[in-house]
Amino acid sequence: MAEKEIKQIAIYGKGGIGKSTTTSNLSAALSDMGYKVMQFGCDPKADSTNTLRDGTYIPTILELLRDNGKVDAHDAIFEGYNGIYCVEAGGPAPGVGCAGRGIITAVQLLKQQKIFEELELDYVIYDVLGDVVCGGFAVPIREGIAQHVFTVSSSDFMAIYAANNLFKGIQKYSNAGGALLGGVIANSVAPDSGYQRSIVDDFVSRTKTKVMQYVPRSLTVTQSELSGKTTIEAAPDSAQAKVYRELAKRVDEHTESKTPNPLTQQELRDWAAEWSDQILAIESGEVTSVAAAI
Amino acid sequence: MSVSERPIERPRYSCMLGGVLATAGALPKTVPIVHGAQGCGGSLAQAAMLGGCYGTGYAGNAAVPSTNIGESEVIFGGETRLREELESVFDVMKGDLFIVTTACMTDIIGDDAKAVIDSLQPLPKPVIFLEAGGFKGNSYYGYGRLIEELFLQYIPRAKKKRADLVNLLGLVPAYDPFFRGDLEEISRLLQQLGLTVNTLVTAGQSHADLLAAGEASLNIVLSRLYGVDAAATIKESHGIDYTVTDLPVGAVATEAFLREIAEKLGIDKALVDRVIKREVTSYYNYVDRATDIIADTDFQNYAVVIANGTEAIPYAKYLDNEIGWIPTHVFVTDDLDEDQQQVIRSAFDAVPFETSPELVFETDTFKIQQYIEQNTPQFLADEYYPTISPAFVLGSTIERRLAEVLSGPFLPISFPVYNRIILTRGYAGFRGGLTLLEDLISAQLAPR
Ligand SMILES: Nc1ncnc2c1ncn2[C@@H]1O[C@H](COP(=O)(O)OP(=O)(O)OP(=O)(O)O)[C@@H](O)[C@H]1O
Ligand SMILES: [Mg+2]
Repeated sequence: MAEKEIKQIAIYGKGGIGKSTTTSNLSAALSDMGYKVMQFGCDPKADSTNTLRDGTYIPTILELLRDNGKVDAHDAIFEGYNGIYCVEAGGPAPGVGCAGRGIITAVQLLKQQKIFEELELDYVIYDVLGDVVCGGFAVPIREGIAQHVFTVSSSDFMAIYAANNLFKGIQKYSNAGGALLGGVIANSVAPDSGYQRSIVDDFVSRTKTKVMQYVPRSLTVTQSELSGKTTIEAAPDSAQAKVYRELAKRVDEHTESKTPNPLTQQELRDWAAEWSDQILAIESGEVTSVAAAI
Repeated sequence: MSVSERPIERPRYSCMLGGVLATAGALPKTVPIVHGAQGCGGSLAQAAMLGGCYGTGYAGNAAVPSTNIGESEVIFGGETRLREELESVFDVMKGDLFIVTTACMTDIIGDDAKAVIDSLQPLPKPVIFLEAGGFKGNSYYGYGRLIEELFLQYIPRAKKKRADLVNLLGLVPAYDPFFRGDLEEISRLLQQLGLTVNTLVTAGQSHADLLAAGEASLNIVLSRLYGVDAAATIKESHGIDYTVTDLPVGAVATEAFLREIAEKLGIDKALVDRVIKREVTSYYNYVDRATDIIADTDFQNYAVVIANGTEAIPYAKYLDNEIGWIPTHVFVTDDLDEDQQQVIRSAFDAVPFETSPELVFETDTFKIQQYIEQNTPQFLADEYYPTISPAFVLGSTIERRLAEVLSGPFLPISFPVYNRIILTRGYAGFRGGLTLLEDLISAQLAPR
């Protein structure tokens, strides 16, 4: 049997922007499509897979490593919704040690033990801590780990700055066989949201990438989260679940990622300034349709 | 020199922690404790061995306890491991002073070692702490930082100074391979001027001496570069004045040195004259003995001197001013910034050379050889040119190849020096000058 091609995806984005929520729903939807999926939380908070496991925490790779000196990958893998394999890298308490090194160690540990092949996975999805503060958090986009990176961003400038920084990281590693950019998942941005959508659209067109899906802000997400579940599991018939399923389908169909074209610091500032002028104008009623203004 | 030009092989110093450990290992009954990864202590012990087979001593080099942190401590922090190590060390190792240092890894992950030490109160013995991540600088820097912290954290600030007490700074254990012999000779001479001398790092120094160091009225820094910052800090903290001089090698330099110090301290000139007369007479009495073999062997050489910023110029000066050799090149092998290079240039310019050698800043062994080959006519053409011949190389052990290229004898005098053991030997002062003369002649006679 020919070795199965494992599609490895990394999800990045500013802290609190909705990475874990989006990732978990993506995993759940892909799993519903019949794929074998692993979700790998790369965050010392170790809360990435909670909604796949009824809101419970699982022991992390690094905890096991700390307590036992070595880790058998099987001990760190827990099944969640629809048989999704859940893994959390874990890490030190805030303010001590080196979380970045922890991520490197955890990712390498699983890779070395060839567990992805053993489980015959179709998808590994890395949910990586918000700001890529040091080399450790770039590990999933370095050679031989993920092939595609998706960035979760809202239309807030801070989220877009973070996305742009991430693009720089991707660009840096792209020559060395690192992961390339698949696109932006616009979270808390409804397709008919007016200037919010326009901001994201403008940003992706300038950086030569695309929007994978517009995911509106929705109470269903909150309700599902409160019951410890993804929207896919808790409210499969909701409009929001449909949005996530569409996202999963596009991710599944996605094959070609690209090197992004990040804006320079100055370009980004100018771009943001232009937009704030427009937004001020909109709010003071001078402009009613952004689409018309562009 | 830019970072990328730093040599990656045959280094002539180790890291900050290396300097700290070599120095801590030379202090009386002192136990250094490294909070670092498993390689630091052992590798740096090996590095210090390159300083004339430096050795372990009381609890230095191979005996240094270390937390040997591993992956788990790097990720989760190593403070628990440090606490455990400190408790065991205090339990099983006897010492009058403990010096706890961090290393690269623990500094990068930001372990709060100070807080761990503070939480262990009451401490059984005095404990000094310093961050010694190797990336902060080289071993010479480490020496200076430890001396600084020794004063700041251990040596009491004495209001009343003793006019007759001085401290010697600037020679770095192991990395200045003759530090003991040099310091002992300088002490011997200053004692004759009626002074009490603290070297801090030679045999016979006690903690009483260390603790009294704050009462000194002068810190004498025997290096243009190293220990100078420490002396400045100590001036602020302890109110001890300092003077920076070259390491005196041979009769001419040492006489000038003694007069300079005596004047600083207002020592009776008649006494100084008497001491110098006695020393000089004895010195030349020995030199006189050597003149037969000097005459017989045509003992007159061109020389290449390769050493650190402390030693290079004093040796070159000795060769030129005292034994009439012609130093052609002086290579200063430390990795110096522009300001430091300027300090060395000024010191160099102040030497009254008969024939001025060329001063070159270069740490790479191969490039040193290349420099000579590419800038000396004898290597460039077959025709007759003035040659560096007969040549003599004073450098580190790794200069052996250069000596072969120049077809001359060779005396290993600077770090790394691992083909001789250095215990009491020194080249400073009157006796050191004679010892150097002996060694130079012996190296020339060795093939007989
Ligand atoms: N589309 C959405 N609609 C409503 N709530 C959302 C949506 N996306 C995310 N949230 C909520 O925002 C909060 C933060 O989301 P999440 O934990 O997924 O962010 P994150 O990017 O993973 O954060 P961190 O960087 O801290 O890991 C959660 O409470 C989540 O329920
Ligand atoms: Mg998250």
